[in-house]
Amino acid sequence: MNQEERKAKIAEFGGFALALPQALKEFPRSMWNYKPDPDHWSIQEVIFHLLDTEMNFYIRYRFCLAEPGKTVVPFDQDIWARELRYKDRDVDQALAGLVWAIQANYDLLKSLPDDAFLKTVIHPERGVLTLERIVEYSLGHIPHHIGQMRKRFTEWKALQK
Amino acid sequence: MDSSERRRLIENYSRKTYALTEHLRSFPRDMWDFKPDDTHWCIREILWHTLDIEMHGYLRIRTALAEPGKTVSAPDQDLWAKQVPYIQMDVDEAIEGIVWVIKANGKLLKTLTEADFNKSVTHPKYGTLNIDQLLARHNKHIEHHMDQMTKRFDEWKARK
Repeated sequence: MNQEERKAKIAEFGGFALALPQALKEFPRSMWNYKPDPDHWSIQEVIFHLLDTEMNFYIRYRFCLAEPGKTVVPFDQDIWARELRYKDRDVDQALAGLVWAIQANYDLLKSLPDDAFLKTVIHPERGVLTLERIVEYSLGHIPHHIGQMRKRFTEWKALQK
Repeated sequence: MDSSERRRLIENYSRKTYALTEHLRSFPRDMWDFKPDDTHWCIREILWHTLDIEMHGYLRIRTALAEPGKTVSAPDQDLWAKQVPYIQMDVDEAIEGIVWVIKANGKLLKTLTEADFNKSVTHPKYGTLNIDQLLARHNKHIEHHMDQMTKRFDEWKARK
């Protein structure tokens, strides 16, 4: 990835601090806990998942910079959603934290020199990951889950007829 | 730890958002980058360090609840301060993050059962740490760094 492409991707990532709360306005609050069955996440659970993933990225980016080569700790997303009872928690607090974490990660990433993006951590399942690769993964992660929330809304709307 | 002691600790921890922001009012902004020498942190660096330890705490408490027994990561605080690098970063963003993460942790801790507090993670250096121990450590950690800020301020004042 050249410098211009990277800058554009990081700017796109930073844009989620505004785009995500904006996207959520499409969905009435009354359906944020709707799920078609226990195997699928509700919008509230997706928001908590995005928050906890962004918190993990926060730590991984900084391990890359400060202690390159270190092994990071992955988390089991389904166990976290269930055991931390995402469905029962304060979603407004989660949203505030998610927006803060995206902004903090964006502010860090946009300040870094080119060679920082070649620094790596070791992921126990995915192997060696450069900082650039983690940013790319993160960039795909949020839109994927916005799509998942839209799907949940469409399913809920179909049931209202 | 009995339940009343635990409740007291959770309250104490949750009140750190107010205690810390009030504490910071004692120090003029123009000395937040003061350090007596390169081996000591300035207030800006202390705040970013405090945030990053609270972020680790956020993940450790949740790992203990969801995946008890798992080994968690531990940062080298001096490498993080130098390589991230704290001295160039927006200190208001750090304060906002500390306040948010303490509130989120405090709120989660208040909903846990007695049994939850015995759930633990494995720290690479300190071994098994249950949630009671994590709570006690985070309380002490913030207090330690609030004292460190006062010390920095006193050193700065003495040089004026």
